[in-house]
Amino acid sequence: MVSPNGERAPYGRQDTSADQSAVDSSHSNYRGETYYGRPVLKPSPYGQLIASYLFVGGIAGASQIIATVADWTGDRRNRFITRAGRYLSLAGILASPLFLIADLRTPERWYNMLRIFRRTSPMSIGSWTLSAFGGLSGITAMLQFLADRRRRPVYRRVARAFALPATGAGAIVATYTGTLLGSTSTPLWARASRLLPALFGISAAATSTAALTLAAHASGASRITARRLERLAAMIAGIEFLASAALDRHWERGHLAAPLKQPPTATAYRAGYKTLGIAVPMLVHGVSVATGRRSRRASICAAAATLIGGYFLRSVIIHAGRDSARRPEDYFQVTEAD
Amino acid sequence: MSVHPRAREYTESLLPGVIPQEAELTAGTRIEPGRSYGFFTDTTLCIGCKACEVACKEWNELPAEEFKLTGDSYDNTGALSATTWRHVSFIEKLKDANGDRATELAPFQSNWLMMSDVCKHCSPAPCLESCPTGALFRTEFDTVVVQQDICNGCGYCVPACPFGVVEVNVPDGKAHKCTLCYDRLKGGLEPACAKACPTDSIQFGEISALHDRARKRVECLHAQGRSDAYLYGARDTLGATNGINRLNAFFLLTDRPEVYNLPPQPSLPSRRVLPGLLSGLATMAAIAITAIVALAGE
Repeated sequence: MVSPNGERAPYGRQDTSADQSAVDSSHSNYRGETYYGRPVLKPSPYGQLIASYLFVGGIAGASQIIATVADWTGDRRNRFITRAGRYLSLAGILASPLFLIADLRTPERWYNMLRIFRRTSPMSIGSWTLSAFGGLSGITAMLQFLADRRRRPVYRRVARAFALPATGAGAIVATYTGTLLGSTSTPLWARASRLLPALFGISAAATSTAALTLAAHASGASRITARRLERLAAMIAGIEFLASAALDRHWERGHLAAPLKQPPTATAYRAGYKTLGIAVPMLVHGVSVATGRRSRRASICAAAATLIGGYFLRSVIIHAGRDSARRPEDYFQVTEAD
Repeated sequence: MSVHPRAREYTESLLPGVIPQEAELTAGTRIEPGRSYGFFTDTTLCIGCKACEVACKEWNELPAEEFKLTGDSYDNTGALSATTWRHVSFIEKLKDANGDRATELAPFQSNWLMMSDVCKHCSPAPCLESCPTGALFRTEFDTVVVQQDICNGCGYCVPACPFGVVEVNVPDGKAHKCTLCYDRLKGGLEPACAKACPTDSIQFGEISALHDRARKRVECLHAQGRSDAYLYGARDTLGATNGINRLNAFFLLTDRPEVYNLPPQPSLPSRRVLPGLLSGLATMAAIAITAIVALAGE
C-alpha cells in the first residue's frame, strides 16, 4: 500500500531509477503474509511405493559395502557376512525397480529413464547407477554362488574384482535418494540437502546389518559372526542416534519441523522411528555390553526393531515432505534453501 | 470466403487468409527461432477479466476443473495446475500500512492487486534440470516445454519447480504446464493469453526488448509517485536469485512477492546435487571404516 504522497513501502525504491541490481534484502520485513494461506509449491507425488524403494534400495547398497569390507578382512569367519551380504544386495536391487516402475504414473514408459543422462538430475544419476549396480551386483552374486559351489579360489578373486565397482555404485545407491529429495524446492528436504543423504546412508547400513543379523540367526551361523554383526549394529545405532539428532536440530533452527510434529506423522516419527528404530536397538546393545551377556532373542528383537524403524524413517520423510510443500509459511522463510 | 484485406498485403502467403508473421502485427515482434521470447506482465494494467485464463483453456483444449466458489475474492481458479496454465490472482488490500481500513483510494487499482500467474519459463529451469527422461526441453524460442510422448510421469519436476507450476495430470499420467503456445510460435502467432489480454497487461516479445520496456515502465511509475513498483524475475531482481538467472515470464509487482504467492528468493535445486552426493559418499566411507573396526578381530 502506498499513500498518495509516495510514502515508501517494503518493496521498491524512493528514487526514480528503475535499477534493481541489488536484490532487496528487506526479507526481515516479512510479516507472514500469504496468499489466502494457499500453498506456493506442489508436493511430490511420492507415497508408500517410493518409501518402500528407499528402504529396499538402501539395504541393497549398504549390504554390498558390508559384504566387501567383510571380504577384505580376509577372515574366514566373516565369509558368511560376505556371502549373505552379496545375496541380500542382489535381492534388494532386483526388488527396487519393481517399486520404482509401479510408482511411475505412466509405467509402460519406464525405459525412458535411460533415454538420456542428465548430471543435474539425481533421478537420472540414480537410474543409471541403479542399472550399473544391478549388473555388477548380479555378477558378484553369481561369482559368489560359483565360489560357494565349486570351492576354487579363482571365483572368489574374480568376485572381489567385481565387488569393488559394485561397492562404489552401492555407496551411491544407498545415499543418492537423500540427494534426490534435497534437490527439490520442498522446504523440509531442501534445507536438509546434505544431512538427508547422510542419514539415509546410515539408516541403510543399520537396516542392512539388521537384515544380515536375522539371516545369521536363521541360518545358524557361528557365534563369532553374530557377535561381530552385533558390534557393527551397536556402533551404527550410536552414529544414527547422533545423525538423527543433528538433523532434527537443523530443522528446528530452520523453523521447518512443524510437519514432523503433526499427527499422524509425529506418532510414526517418534514411536516408529525414534523409539523402535533407534532407542530400542541402543538399549538392547547397551544392556548387552554392560552385562556382557548376549541373548539371541534380544539380538533378533533389536534387528527387527531396526528394520521397522528404518521403514518408518523413509515413510515419515516422504509424508512430512509433502506436508512441508503445502505450507507457504515454511517456504517463504527459506530464502536460500541450504 | 473472401480474403482479409490485410492478408492481401502479404503476397508471399501460400494460403489465402494466413498471415505468416501475425505476431508482428499484434505484438510488434517477429517470431524467429534462435531468439529468446517471453512475457512481461505489468500487473498495474491488469483488470482481472480472466480473458487470459479462458484463451489459454480454449487454445490448448484444457478441460474445465471443478466448479466452485473459493471465497478468495474473485479467484475461483485457485492455483496453476496440470490443466490450468494461466491463473489470475486477486488480492484486496482492505487495510493500509498501519493495519487500519483504508479511507482513501490509492491512485492505481483502487486497493486491489491483480496478477495473471503463469509458468515462468526460467533460465535455467529447475524442472528441466530435474527431468530424467529428457521430456522437458528448451525450445528454439528459449521456452520450456514438456514433450508428451516422452514423459513417463515420474513426477520429479513437480517438487523441483520453485514456483509450484508443473503438475502431473492424474487421468493422463504425464506432466503438463504452459508451453508458451509453442505451436502458435511456430506459426508466427503470439501466445493466446497475450493476444486476448485487452489491456496489454500481458506483453509478449523478445526478452531484451521486454526488459527495456519494463524498466521504463517502472521509472515512469516511480516518477508518478508509485515507489513500490518493481520488477520480479528480471535479471538481478527478486525472483531471479540463487542460480535462477532470469525468468522469461517476468512481472511488475507493487507489493511483496509473498502477497502474490510468489517466493522472494527461489533457488536452483540442482546446486544442491553435488554437495549432497559428496556428503552421501563420505558417509558411506565412514560406514566402511566402522565396518572394518567391527568385523576385524574378536
